[in-house]
Amino acid sequence: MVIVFMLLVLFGTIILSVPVFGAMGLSTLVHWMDEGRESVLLIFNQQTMSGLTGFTFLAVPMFLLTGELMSRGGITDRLIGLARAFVGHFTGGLAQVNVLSSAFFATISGSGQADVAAMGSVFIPAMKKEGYPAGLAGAITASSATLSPVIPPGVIMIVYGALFGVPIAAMFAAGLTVGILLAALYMTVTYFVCRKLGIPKYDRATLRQIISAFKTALLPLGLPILILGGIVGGIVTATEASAIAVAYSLFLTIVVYKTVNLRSLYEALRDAAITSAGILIVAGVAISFSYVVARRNIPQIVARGLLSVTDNPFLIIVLIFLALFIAGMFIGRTANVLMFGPILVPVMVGTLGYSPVQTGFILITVLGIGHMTPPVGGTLLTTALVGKVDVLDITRNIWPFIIVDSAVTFMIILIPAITETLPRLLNLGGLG
Amino acid sequence: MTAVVRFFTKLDTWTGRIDYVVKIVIATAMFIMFGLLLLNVLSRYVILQPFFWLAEGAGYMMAMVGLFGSSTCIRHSAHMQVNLIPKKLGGADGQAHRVAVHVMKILALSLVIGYSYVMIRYGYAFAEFGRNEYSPSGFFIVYWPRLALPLGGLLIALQSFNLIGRSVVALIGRVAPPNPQDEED
Repeated sequence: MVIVFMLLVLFGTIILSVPVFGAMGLSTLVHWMDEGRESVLLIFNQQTMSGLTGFTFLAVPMFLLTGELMSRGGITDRLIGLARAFVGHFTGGLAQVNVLSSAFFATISGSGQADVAAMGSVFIPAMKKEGYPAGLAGAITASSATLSPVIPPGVIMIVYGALFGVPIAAMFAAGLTVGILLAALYMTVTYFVCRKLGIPKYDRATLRQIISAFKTALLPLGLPILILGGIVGGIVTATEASAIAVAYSLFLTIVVYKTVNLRSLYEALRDAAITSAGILIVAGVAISFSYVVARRNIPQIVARGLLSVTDNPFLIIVLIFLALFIAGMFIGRTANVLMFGPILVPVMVGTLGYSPVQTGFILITVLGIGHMTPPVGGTLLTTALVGKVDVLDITRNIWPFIIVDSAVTFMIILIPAITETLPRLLNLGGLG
Repeated sequence: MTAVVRFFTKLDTWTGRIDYVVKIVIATAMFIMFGLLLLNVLSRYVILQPFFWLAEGAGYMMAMVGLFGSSTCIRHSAHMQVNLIPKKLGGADGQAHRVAVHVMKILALSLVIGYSYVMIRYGYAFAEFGRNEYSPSGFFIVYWPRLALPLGGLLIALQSFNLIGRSVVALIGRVAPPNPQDEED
């Protein structure tokens, strides 16, 4: 009964537009009302504080700051130049450049919203000018922005790893495979869509142009190499790598390119701090929420409930898929992972036998589909806003990408090797 | 009615100023966090003499960013939240819809104030428990960093109350109070 009441408070307050941290906090108070001891409230505060000071979580604000600095430092143009040299001559050249640029940008930003903001404002007007239908330009931008969370250093991977004790290096290694797979499929879909519409392509870049574009983007590309090499190579922790990433981006934007001054440095710090605060407060409250979830044996109750509906593991995962898909339509991945993770991760790992890394990517990709699904998907709405495109226009064009995303998610569910091969080969853990 | 509008307008201006200061504080905390983490890396890999208090200090800065920054997120609607119903209602014309949106906002923000009360009262009690307690590295007395909980709660409550004020002013037929400080950011 208490659990039902807790969930009612959680969903009721969320529907009422209470911020997620407040909704989670208020639902934990149901546990306190049932226990009737004031010491429970002290424990909630203690748990929240321990979440807010966790060493692994420190990587979140640092990577967000790196993304802010790199965006403000004009790195985007360099990455676009490189992507154009590589894939501009494919059918639907500019659209292909859009997808590949998003993949490159993901390696320095880690946030889908940042990707939409950076890429949408550049690509959507440019694509419209070249004759692409506005809806298609928006659809390609929105879907390629969903690459950011699965490509290292995606913030959601850090949050998941920190909350459930999964090595960040293993998440990043698995993310590389998933990210490359998704980017390749998006580019394939783009190819066929653009071929059908007869959209032009650029001339093939000469070797000299490719080398020149590569030289221009060489230093920004050093960042992902530094991050991935350091973490996956086991040299530094994710948090240490994030501090090195900030130092590197400061060096690049202030000393080398001279594109960030004191004023824009302050703005980058301020904006990164505000974005971080929105994530950190939810992460902090999620720790006390997890405490209540564990105390009340909610994962076991949910597992029993699901097993009473069906004992077929695939059907259970389909039920979870549907629930997360709907949740993903209304709220971002990070909030969803923090809210549903404490309940679903023990069920998926303990009862259904998925590895922690595979579970993480099932959650992240399913929620991503919801986030780009009409009519309320967050990425969709942001893209419409940034690119000044009608949501309905994007909706008509985004379905092929949603189908690709769904197919990849089912592949992740059915083929553990997609997410587990690299972590296993590199002996990074997170597999059981 | 005029007194109510005047009160909330003044409150909006003052909370705007507080928000401006909070932004400077969290930006500074962010920079210190980075500095401490970088020193942590240097101490561990360059001089091979790790200082555990550096990571601890960075963690306390992060708590400050998370808790204080949340009040800024409240003011600028930057929190993760589902705005489906207000958007649906806001899209519709008519006085009844407008009233419904503001009543819902007032209700949601009152609930946030309710939760921030727990942060203020029991966060402070939790901080008091640590008055003579040292952090694991022995470098910090945990009382001071833990004070971020009640202070953050207080700031969240203040900004929420201010937004309630904006809705109240809008409900009694005036436009939302001005917010000059926000424009300057």
